[in-house]
Amino acid sequence: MTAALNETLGSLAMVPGVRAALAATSDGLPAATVAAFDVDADALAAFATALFSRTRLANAAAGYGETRYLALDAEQGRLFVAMHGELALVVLAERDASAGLVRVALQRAMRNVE
Amino acid sequence: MTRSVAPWLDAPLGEFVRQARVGLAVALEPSGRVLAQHGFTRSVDVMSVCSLVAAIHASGSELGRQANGAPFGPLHHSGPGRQVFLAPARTVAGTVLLLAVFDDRTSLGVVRHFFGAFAQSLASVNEGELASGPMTGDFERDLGRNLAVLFGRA
Repeated sequence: MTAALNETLGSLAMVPGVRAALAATSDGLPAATVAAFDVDADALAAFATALFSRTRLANAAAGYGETRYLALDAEQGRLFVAMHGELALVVLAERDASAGLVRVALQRAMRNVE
Repeated sequence: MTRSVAPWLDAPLGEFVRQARVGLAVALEPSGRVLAQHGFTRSVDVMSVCSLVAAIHASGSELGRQANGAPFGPLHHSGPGRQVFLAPARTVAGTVLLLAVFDDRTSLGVVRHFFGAFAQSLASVNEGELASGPMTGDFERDLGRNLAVLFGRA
């Protein structure tokens, strides 16, 4: 599993504009990280999964069904989260990274590690 | 509501509870003497929780020393609805144990993260502040008085 996870994160990190890819458990603990810079994996895993869980609740309250993917734009970059079962994948990307490309890569990555 | 008998714990524990979104929290000495609590409504509950936490910490530390050469780190148990997180934080005068009980409003990762900030805050408390603490050395008297203070009876 760890080898597959590292390979999957490596593939995500190859997407243009992606600076870090991280796998985390659904309770917010980091499982593996591939990053081009110093990233606080503990904090990122904790807050990205918490954010996704909250978003899932909001979507459920809105009657929108299952949440598959979360994207956030910030001043300095973009954050993407996908979660399935007990595993979350988190991607940090540059501000001008293609959201479409990252989304496709995340969907593929999720299929690889399911 | 967060209440303590140690002023240097008020802000760090209050911040931990608020940020980590835990329902119950107790800070205590490894001996089992309570220092602060949040969320409990009965002193008898705090007293029994402190006794159990002290015993768990002592057992885990000794088991860690024997099996691992050093005490084990934070402890986490997960139940169907609630989870507990127990970890030691160091001060210049010794160890403070923190027990947090939480549910699905938060997560282990978030609790662990804000425990790190709590531990950092305690590490920066100086000896002068700690000296204003509530302990006299008489376990039963300290425990009884601390519980009375925490539950508004003193």
